[in-house]
Amino acid sequence: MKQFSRLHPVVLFFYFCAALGVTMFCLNPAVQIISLGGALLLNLIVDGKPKKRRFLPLLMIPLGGLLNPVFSHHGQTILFFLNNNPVTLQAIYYGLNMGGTACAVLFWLSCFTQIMSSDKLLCVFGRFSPKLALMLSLILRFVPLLGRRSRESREALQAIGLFREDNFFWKLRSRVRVFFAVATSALENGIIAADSMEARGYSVGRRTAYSVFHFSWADGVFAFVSAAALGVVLIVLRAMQLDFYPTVTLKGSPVACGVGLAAFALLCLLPGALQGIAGLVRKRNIRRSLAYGKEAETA
Amino acid sequence: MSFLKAENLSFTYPDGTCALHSANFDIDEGDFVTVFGKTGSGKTTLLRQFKPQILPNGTQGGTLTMSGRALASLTEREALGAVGFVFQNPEEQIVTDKVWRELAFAPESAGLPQGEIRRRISEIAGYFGMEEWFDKKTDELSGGQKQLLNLASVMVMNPAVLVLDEPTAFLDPIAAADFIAVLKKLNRETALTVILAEHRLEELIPVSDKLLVTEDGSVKYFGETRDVCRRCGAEYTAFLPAAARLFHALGETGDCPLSIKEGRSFIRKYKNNIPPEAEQKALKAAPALEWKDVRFRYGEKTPDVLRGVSLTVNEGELFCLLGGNGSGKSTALKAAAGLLLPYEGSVKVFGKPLKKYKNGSLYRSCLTYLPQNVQTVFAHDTVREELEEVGADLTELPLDWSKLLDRHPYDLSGGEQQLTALAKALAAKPKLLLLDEPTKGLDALAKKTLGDILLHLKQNGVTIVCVTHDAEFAAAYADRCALFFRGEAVGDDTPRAFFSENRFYTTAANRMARGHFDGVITVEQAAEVCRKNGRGDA
Repeated sequence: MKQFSRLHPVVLFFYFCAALGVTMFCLNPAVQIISLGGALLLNLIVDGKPKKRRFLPLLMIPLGGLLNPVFSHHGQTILFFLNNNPVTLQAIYYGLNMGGTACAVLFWLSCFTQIMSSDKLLCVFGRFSPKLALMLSLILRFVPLLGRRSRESREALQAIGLFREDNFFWKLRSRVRVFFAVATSALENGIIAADSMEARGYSVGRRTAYSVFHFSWADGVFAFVSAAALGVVLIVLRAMQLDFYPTVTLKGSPVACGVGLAAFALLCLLPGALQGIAGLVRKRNIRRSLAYGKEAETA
Repeated sequence: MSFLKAENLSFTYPDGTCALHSANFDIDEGDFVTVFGKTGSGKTTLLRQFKPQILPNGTQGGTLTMSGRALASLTEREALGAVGFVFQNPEEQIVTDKVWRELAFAPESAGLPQGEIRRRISEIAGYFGMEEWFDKKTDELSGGQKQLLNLASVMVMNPAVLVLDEPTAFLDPIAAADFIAVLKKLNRETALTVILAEHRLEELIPVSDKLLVTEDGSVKYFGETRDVCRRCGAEYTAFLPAAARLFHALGETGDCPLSIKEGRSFIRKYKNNIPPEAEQKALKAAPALEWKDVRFRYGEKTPDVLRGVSLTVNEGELFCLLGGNGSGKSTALKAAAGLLLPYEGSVKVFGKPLKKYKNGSLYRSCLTYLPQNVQTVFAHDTVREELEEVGADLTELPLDWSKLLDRHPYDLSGGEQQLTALAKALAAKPKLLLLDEPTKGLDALAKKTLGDILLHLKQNGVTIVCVTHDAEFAAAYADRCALFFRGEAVGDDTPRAFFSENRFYTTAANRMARGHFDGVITVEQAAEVCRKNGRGDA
């Protein structure tokens, strides 16, 4: 068994696209609840000890419920009037649903940033275009370098009296100076980088993109299961949509919707379950393997 | 037939200037060849002939062949496996964000399949001992590690010839020695042909098979190491190791000593009846710069980098701070320049605490500081604009500026960049000059120019504090030295007392003379005392 976060980056990327896509384009509170549950579960397992402010986005749900009826006055069931405008039950439902969608998307994105390191993202892009992956890698190298250079230049200019913050005029002049120093160094030293790339065969011909990730059977199984679940959801997607106005009604048959929700639940809960269970199994196996060594010592 | 053969090799820029003319040499497989020469003598142009992919615009004349095939006629793919090239600046030639991606760059370019790349980079990382930092970001590596990575990411294509353009210029002495040791290991174990241009020749010449000296775009000397060391002209002796410099200073003939060991037996051919002259004691003067129990750390929970530095530099002194990497010497200098605020202790400049200098008055007619990387102070397209920006007075620096003024500061040699930055810093007429590693990447002649300028400034009443790794420079020019260790300044003393008490952190001349002439720290002193005593076997 392989932990979710250790799956092949392409599989992970596909998975996040699927989960996010369905969450965003399916208007159905059950979908949002399932999605939110899956994302929260994964978040808790990946993060270990999440801080309280991590859960702040949950406030978006009541906020949506409060705000939507102020702007939208559709819906049949009028609860009361606010400034001569009707506040309807359906508008509240819709607002809660929108808040839920936004919240679920945020939690999925939070999982995404925690799991998809720059290495993994570059592996995904490398599949499409090795040149693009290289370009991104160059940028990842270059941006922190520029930051450090500008700090160095600022210090150097300050210590020969060319960076002063006495008044607005000096401030502006000093900043411009640092900018030019950094720009010059970036351009001039860029020539060295170009030579270094050329000397290592940059223009030989078609590049390949090397990555440290292997595609194993576990990746295949996970990809297959999640693709199948996504397939089912997509087939019945229309049936799963809700109309909120004038009354809350299901567009398709309840059976189709039920099948879709079951498939979506499988899709959303899979990573959390896999991460948790595989993590526990791994921990137990490690403990067993360490104990084995100790037994041999005492024997 | 020789492995690499140059016949009438020349190179001309489109504007007609000839950067290299009629170069002839033969290099055998497995040779370790060191190239040196004055700044602008055509070393880099010569080295780039081996890698036509990175030649600047211009025309090549004559031939340069490898096993009979002209290097210029190789396809890009063949060239990738034939010649590897490592550049000077460790930082700028790294192009990707992760160590393993940098290693994979060349095989990716060659379009090798995944499995092959994995095997190659694993093997190379193992050979170079990079497992520990294989997954790191390239940004987090030390200078020595960066240059090792550059070497490894070239060696991953298994070239037959390795060409390096001053690869250790930016490294501290320990990292440089490690790097050379790795090169020598590659050369010995795999018969890799190594061609290397370098300024730092003390350790390099004794391990080289052949030397090539360039002068004005042509090959002045080429041959076996010992032979070239013996017959090279007086203007090149400054480049040689201390033992060979002593040999030339004494006008000896016969076998030229190269290593410290050979130097020690060479020096013992002289009698030691007359001891070296005693040193004059430094005069007591008012303090120009004082650190008092200075403590500093970079992060809230990281250990102290400065652990109570206490040190006084007197007016009119040239003071050198020596010490290993991470010993805190550069940090101490930055604290003195007011770029850092110590959390404990105080720094006083001319008796006045730093915080009393308000609104940058510290940097006006009082103190200036130049960092290690002097390029950071350049922001214009020509040296002239750089100097006009601050209104620098060129007559203060005894130097011929006419050739430099219209050039781009980044096109200057390391020594010229250092002097330009120095001129820029001196425009504020400082009484205290703080320099971080001013001799980094400088050849012997540029070091001498810089040293003489510093002495000239000192005579005009400027107090100078240098952080340096360069024991030879400190021995020749400093009035006092101090050693930094674990964030403290220890053992401040005159260079002679300082270096003759140290056994490892000392100059080559001292290592050779120790036990025979105690207290000798420069080759000049050694030559003088040898001359006075005369040869024992004569």
